[in-house]
Amino acid sequence: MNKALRNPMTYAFFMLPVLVLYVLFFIYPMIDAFAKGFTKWNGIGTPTFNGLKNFDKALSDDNFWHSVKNNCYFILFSVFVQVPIIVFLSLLISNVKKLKGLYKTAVFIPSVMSTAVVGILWSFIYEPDIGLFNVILTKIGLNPVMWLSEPKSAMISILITNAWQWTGFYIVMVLAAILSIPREIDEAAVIDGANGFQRAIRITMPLIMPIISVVIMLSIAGAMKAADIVIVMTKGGPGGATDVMATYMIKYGITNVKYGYGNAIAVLIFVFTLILTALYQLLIARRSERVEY
Amino acid sequence: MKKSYLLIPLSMVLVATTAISSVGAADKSVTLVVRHTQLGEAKQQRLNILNDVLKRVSKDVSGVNFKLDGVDSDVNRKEKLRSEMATNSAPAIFDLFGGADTQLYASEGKLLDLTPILKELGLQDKFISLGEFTVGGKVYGLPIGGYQEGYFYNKPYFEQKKLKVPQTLDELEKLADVIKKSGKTPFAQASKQAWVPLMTANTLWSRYAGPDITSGFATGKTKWNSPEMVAAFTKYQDWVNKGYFKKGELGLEYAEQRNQLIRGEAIMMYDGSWASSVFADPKQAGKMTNQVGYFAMPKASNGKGSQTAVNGGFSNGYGFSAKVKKDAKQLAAVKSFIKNMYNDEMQIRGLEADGVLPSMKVDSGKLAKAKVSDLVKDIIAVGNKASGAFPAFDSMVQADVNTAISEGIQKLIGGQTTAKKMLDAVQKVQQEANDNDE
Repeated sequence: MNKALRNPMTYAFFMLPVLVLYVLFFIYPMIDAFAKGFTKWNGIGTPTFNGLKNFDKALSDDNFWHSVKNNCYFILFSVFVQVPIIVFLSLLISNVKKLKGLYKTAVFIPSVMSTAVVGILWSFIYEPDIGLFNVILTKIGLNPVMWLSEPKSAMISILITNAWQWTGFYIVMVLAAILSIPREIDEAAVIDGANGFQRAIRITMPLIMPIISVVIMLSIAGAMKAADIVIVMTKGGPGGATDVMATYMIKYGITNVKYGYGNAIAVLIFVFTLILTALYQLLIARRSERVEY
Repeated sequence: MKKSYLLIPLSMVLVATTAISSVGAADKSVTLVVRHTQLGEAKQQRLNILNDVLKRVSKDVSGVNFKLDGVDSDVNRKEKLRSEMATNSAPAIFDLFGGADTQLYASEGKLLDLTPILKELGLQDKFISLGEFTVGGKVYGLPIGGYQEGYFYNKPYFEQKKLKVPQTLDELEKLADVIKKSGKTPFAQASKQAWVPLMTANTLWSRYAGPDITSGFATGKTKWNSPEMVAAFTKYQDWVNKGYFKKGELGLEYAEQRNQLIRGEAIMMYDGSWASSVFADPKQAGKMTNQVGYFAMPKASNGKGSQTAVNGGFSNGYGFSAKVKKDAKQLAAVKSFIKNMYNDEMQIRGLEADGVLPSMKVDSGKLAKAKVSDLVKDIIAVGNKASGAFPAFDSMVQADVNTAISEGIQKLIGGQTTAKKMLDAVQKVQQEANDNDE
């Protein structure tokens, strides 16, 4: 037994199945997408090399940049609206004495629901005539808002829905970090006369920064590949107002039968995500060092 | 010696299992995936017809099973089937649109050539038109029915307000004004999917610029941004600005369009003849059951070309994967499917149960005896009065142009662009698509 474990080939053997799957479903499609991104291809016939034409077309297309802008809205909304709410709710739940499990489960439920269900559910809430929001607005004497029909409100409506779905998932992560802080630290602060707010800002927050950094990182990655919620709620409409890069790729690649162009968009999404995450790691994440108690 | 004792029974077992498995293989049943778009209550009758046909095929060809795969029509057409064609994994039998879709798949050898099968079954002259499914003289798909587009309207409301079916677009606008003033929405519409408002737009531009203009876009003979086209879309935007459509309809699903008419919230609705079955079903139409009439979009003063032509054709039906011909049993199943689906009985059944206009030359005696609603009779009468029919624009232009005009119409409804600006953008995409095709 010991002999087998000392042989590096044993480890290689155990890793092989995962490695094969990783190459098959990630490395190969990625290389293939890179190669096809430089071709004119209808997805069915033989691809023909067309140099940088696809990339040139994408980078000079206003609709593409509009979809990039919408991805940026996803990121900004996550970082500046969703994360503060996540931290706030996590702090609240961590201080609850009774039914903590119930609160944790309640906030977690939306993240186990399928995006299609969440999208349809919120479409009812945004319905112009009988939707919950407009019923409330009209009851308090305000004009109803055409949530998913107006270009300006459609994007924010999607962002709210997306945040609702994933906030609970991140709350559970942050909550785990808060609850893992040794009680002695908090008790020492209480003895020193720190109030609840001071303890949250001065003690808890710095200690959970690494996990908040992970949450931000995951939000960025999630924002860059957002597509399902947009497809279910608006199909990228009205008039492409809510298109993100992934729905742009589906529309202009698959629907338009231009798979070469679609692959080029996939490559651009990959490159943009790589740049963003690398920048985040270099500029921000490294600063939030590992916490030693 | 001992080894040989062991080898003999082992070899016998091997031979026996091989023989049994090859006999089994000969009788092996095959499962064919049937991609259909008959989802929801409104299409239940069509799904029943499909199920009955598949039962008959299973009786005709032993060892054939079917797996139904229902997908939303728009998703199947624009995303799922296209991806499957790219990965060579299309189902054996699938919902197919004629025109540009069929041309693309046929040119890449993905569709089964049905010409010899039609000949074998004696069906080659039985269809009213196979034009949209014919590429290079070969037939690659079969229309399940015909369609026609026009205005459905609330008959009791018209009677109560003493309104008459309009004969010109000016009269239609006056009608819309009267309805609007009475607090109702003149036209039911739900434009989350852009093809819905484009139905109205397609016929409107055919009235202004003539029905033949559309076929010229892909050849470069005609232009999207010609003055007549701009006038048609300006009129459309004018209707939006006058509040002829429900506010916020850009975010509503297609099914919501007919609900606006059923609830009495809207009085007229531009839609295809396929919607007629809803108004004959008390479960779906409620108080509006058999209370809906139909008229064609009226003529435009100073309009070009035929002013009575209707948007209609035979563009949707079934296609079959080219891979089917490699397997005798699958091919037999496809032949049986065509035989059992495309006959007088099923065409009459589709007409009676669902208001689907026949795509085949059905025996006139049988057709006269068919029990159809007054609404379907109205639709047939409008078709008979029309000087001709023109197919929907999306079967005649490239996919990118369809996307461009789809985005454009939503922007126009949302007030984000003008008719001229939008059509200039579409023409630019059209020009690029035409240059690429060369």
